[in-house]
Amino acid sequence: MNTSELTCGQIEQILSDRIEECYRQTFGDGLKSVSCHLFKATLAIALERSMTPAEELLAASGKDYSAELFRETLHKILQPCIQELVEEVFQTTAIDLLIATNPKTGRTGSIVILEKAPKFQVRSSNCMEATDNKTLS
Amino acid sequence: MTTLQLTRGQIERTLSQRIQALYRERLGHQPSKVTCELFDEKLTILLENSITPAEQLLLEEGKEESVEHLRSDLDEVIQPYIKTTIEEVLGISVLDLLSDATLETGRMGLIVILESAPSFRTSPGRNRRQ
Repeated sequence: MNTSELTCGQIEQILSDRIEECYRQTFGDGLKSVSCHLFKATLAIALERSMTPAEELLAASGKDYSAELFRETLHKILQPCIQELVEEVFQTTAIDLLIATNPKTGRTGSIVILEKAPKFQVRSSNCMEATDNKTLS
Repeated sequence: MTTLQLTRGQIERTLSQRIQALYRERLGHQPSKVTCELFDEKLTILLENSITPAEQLLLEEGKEESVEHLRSDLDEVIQPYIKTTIEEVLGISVLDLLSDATLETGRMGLIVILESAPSFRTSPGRNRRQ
């Protein structure tokens, strides 16, 4: 995909839709929403209501450890799916992918570090750029 | 803190400083870089070189499983401090805090869900989405 012809908001929307589709195909319905935000070479993804019915049943039955192991397995399935979609959409390598779920709220968050910042069309509502004044090193 | 008097960049920098100081004080280890990004009612925090010397030593000895347990416990202990720091700086409640780390890269990332989007002073000449 040539992202330089799209605005950042459009790219984020495409990616959100693709991740949502992948999630539904793999784990079934139930996911409420997916939002993506790109900052330079960092992509933040938030999934609302991402718990599967099986996990909810395990958690409700007090089998927290089993629910946790189950979620770890789901992350192992989800990670390559997200990585593939991100690399396909941005045409760049994902060098790191962090993912976590809070079973109490059903939210999943993922941060993807890209090898290089994608190019996109700049319009009035473009992506936020990472600047030095908020990075502390 | 009244975030309305500050630009988003200033708030993000304050958060980065406070989180870096928190790691130094509580874990005796300072991540080499801390980046905070606010968007809507979410905050992304990225810590580079977040692995403590003790974890590093265990990794060098091939005790990856021990490090994973240690990391999980450390996350559990440090998260309430991070939550308090964010709430102090932004004056907004934290609804959710999701964190993960990659041992191979030493990178740690957090996505924080806030009760509402923070208000801040608009920086002139900056074209950035709120």
